[in-house]
Amino acid sequence: MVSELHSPASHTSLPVHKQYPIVFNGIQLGLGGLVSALALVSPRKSLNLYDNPAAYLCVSASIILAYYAVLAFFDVYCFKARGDSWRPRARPMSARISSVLSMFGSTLAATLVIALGFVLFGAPLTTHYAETFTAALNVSLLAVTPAILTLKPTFGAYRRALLSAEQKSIPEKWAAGFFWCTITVTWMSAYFIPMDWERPWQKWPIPIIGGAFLGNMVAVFFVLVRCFVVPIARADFEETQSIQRKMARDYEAQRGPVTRSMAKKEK
Amino acid sequence: MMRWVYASALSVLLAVELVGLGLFAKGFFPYKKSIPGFAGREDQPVDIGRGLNAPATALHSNSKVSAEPQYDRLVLMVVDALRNDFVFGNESGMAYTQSLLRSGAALGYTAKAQAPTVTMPRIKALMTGTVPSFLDAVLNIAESDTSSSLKHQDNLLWQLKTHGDKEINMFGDDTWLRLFPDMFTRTDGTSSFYVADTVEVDTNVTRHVRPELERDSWGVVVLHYLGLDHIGHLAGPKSPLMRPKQREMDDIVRTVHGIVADQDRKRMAADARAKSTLVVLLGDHAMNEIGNHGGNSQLETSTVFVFIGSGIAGQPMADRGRNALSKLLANNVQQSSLVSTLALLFGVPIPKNNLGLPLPELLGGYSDRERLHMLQTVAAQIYGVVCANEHSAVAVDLQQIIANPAVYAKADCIHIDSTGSRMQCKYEAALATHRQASSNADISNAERAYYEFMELASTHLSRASTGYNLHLMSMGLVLMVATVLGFAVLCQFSGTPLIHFKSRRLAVSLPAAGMWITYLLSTLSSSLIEEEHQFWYFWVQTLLALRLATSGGRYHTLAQMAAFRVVRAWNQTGQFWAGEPDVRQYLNAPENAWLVWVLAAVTLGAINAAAWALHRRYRRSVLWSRTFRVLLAYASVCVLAYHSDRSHEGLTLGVWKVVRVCLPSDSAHLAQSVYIATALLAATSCAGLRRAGAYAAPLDALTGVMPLLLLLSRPHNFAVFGLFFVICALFFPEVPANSQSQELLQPSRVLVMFALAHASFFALGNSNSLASIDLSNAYAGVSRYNEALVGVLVFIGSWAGPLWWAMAGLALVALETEGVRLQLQVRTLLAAAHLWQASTLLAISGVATMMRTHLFVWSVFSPRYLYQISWSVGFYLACGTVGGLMWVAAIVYIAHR
Repeated sequence: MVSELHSPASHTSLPVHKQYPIVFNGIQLGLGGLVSALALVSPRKSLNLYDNPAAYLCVSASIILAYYAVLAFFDVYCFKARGDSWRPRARPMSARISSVLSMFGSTLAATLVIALGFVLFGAPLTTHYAETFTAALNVSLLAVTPAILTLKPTFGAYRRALLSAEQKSIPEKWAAGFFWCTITVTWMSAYFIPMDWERPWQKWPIPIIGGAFLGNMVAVFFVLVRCFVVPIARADFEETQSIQRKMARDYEAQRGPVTRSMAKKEK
Repeated sequence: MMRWVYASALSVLLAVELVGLGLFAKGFFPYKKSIPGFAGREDQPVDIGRGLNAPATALHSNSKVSAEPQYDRLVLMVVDALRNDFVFGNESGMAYTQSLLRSGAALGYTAKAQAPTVTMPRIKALMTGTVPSFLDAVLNIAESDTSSSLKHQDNLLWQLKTHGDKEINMFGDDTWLRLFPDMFTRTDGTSSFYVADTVEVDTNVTRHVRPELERDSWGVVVLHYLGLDHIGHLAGPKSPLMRPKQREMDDIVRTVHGIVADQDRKRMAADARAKSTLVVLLGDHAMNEIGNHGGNSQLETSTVFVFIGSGIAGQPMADRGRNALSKLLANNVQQSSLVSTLALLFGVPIPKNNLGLPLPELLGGYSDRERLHMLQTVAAQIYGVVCANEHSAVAVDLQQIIANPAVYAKADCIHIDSTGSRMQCKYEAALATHRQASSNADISNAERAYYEFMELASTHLSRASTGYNLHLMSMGLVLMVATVLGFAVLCQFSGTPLIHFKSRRLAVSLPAAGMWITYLLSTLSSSLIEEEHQFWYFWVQTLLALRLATSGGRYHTLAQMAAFRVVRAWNQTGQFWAGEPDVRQYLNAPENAWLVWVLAAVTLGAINAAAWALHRRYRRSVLWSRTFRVLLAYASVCVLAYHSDRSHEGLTLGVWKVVRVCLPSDSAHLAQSVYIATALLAATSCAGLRRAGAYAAPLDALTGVMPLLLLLSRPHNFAVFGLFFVICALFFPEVPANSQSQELLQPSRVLVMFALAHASFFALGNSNSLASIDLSNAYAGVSRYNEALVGVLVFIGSWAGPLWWAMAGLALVALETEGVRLQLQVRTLLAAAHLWQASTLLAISGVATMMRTHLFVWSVFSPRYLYQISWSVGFYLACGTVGGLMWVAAIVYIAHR
């Protein structure tokens, strides 16, 4: 019985295949975030996060932006709203370029919204424009761009995925996971700014950036669990159950209904 | 829950909380009386050991000072943050000092400093022999900077200058100059502000050493070196700069010792009565393992005394080896003993509040009788402090003791319960033993008896001054815990519960719970206490952002956030960013005065317009609403006139002059007419409620109270109240949450208003520092000085924002619910507010207990505690509960009569 369960292929009338929604890009994305975060912790002498945050953040933003641009250009991002196939489709060059450009545009729009949020939450209003903008650019790349690459470009789709509590599809969970994890940890990291530890990293906007990258890493693990592990486990569980049900049905059909006394006898 | 059950439960809980608060405060803020005035020669007691057989009555006339001073001149070399192992340790760079100690030419001690181990209180303690008490420090913050000087407190330098006729010179840290104005003849102060400088700050002092010491006239020279402390702050005690700095200090000791020894030889050859010079090397405090100080740890409090001079017999060094000096590391004496020791050695009266014991090793140069008389002098002085602080100790009758010393000497003091009487008994026993002393054995007995008394008195009195009454504090804490639990139960059973027991889930909204927990955690951090406004600003925007997110994006909420961002930029407060540019600075620039008045006039006009709009919508009684609006307009104009009169750049428009003529000319009368108008407004708003409904009165209060609040605020803050009005108006109409499941995530309007109430306190320029209390309008309309009235006005002025937002919350609740439900809703909110208040009080009391030895206990935790008392008692209890409940009861009664 046990050995039968582990070799479901021997049965002919099982569900055709399991829908494992995994592709390598998810891990690759996580790696991208990790590499970038590591670069943040070890500032080099010439380009220092503490001395010149804006320039440094420009570099880190362009690394992530380039990474996303490659993903968008080759159409290999983990979840896509358009197209059902997981394989890269054959698309004309103009469509590829325009998808990259629209990603740029949406990210820029999100950056402006996030920069406005920073200012509302207390970022300096009249100084540090470059720092605020580059920080918002980084945060929007980490928090919003996964959603941009995943969701349909309509206001309703964003609202449904990011702001509603309705039942969500896996790509929507992916987008919401990145958005909320990154934003929440970024929010938390702001508590470090007013502390009187007098550390160089407490300068605006470094704690925010640290929080965003940390939140992004948390998000990678979170969506890994929520969009891959849990669905796979659920698919496995459901499959096992259906196999059990099927076997019980087959058994019943052959021998009649199973009773407790018969089960004991078999032992 | 029945109404009377709720009322009695609430009042019992509040009473318990007040008792707990009182107990805690009594244990936390001890108060030590200090004796005013300066000690003189006549304060020296008659030598009780003298003339054993002389008749007792002859003692009074016989009040001549006995012992000759041991030294003529004093060099006090203070090295900031000089820890004991920097001098006595094997790693020390101070070879010359060590060689003096080894050869017995110098005496070394580990001097224990008391918290706070920062320079100013330490210098005070070193020069007065006292331990500055907690409340002293708190009261010092409130007063101006000059009041911290020792001009009116008895101290060693004053005694040396007045009774010792010394010329006193001072070179080094300018704290001394601030503490002792007009004390020094020749000075050169260096600022301790530039911590990064470790070289200049000391060469500035050293360049004076040789020329100043080689002059003839000086009597006392104080040198205060800061470089060592700066190295500690920059790089810690193990810094490579540390040993060279110690060597530099050692060189100065060598120089000073060389010069004075040379001079002494010449002086004594010229004048037979001349005495030698005493050099004292000491630290004001020490440093911990990372080079900071301020707290109460072993390392921070272990500093040094090294006495160098002729006639000093050093400690016997049995072991001449490498570790010979290490036993000095444990040779602990109190830092306060410097005062009495030096006063005795220089033959000047002992400062009145001294609690330090003289160091016996230094008194070796005196005869036994003289030494006993000196101890008697110090004991008498300390007993004076005992009598000032303990009621059970009374002046001793010397005649009685002289008449039958044997009775007093054998008295059994240990079993006396009252500390005051026990100390009196000890003192009398010491005097009696002294009286009896005739042989050598008796003298050491008498000495021991004096030291026993002085140690008992000194430890007891220093405990009374820095120490806390932990017993009372813990009792207070227990009562506060009980109160918090009680309020939680009350919350659970009055209206909306906190927890649904049936469905096993939290009924309280997640933002409220999150804010509560974060706030309680933030009280642990001293910087989040100093910068509490950051917490509230951040949370107001967070709550509004959550409302924005859960309601699917509404421009009203976005506009509220924008308005609050402007409010936030109005007054920079706290500690760290207090000096940043803000709107207030811009408005207070003379060239922008016109803008202040434009904003003020616009705000007042908007308030009148708002009253009109509200009346159009909610009031049907024409008579009362018209009366209300006329009164409001009159009060507004009075407020404008009051502030314009008091300002240097008041209104000068022609139209305004016409208006001004119609108003009272005296500013006190203007303020009084605002008070009367406010009372009339309150009465008018309650009239005609039966037709309008119970919500009309709270809505009127929002505009009606404004003149009073604005009268007690600064003119540049008027527009902030205008923005509050805008933010409040944008809360209407309410939008429901997107979906059922997001209701828990959506902060209610009352919650946002609660956060706004706390935020508005800081937005108007207040902070958790006593320095930010604004007394400018405290005397508005008060012609006579009246402490209670001024206190109430200061409270209303400081808490104007929170009071207005509390009314706004009440108006919102009243508008949403009617009649009996209103009472129920108010009860629920009140219980929740008290749960918040009581748990905050408990958290801050707990933190204050934990941090009672922390560096910031004076500057951060204790002011915060005073503010919390004002919040809990003044705002939540008096205004919120007593005032609020009575008001709601009144309007409900009137409306539904």
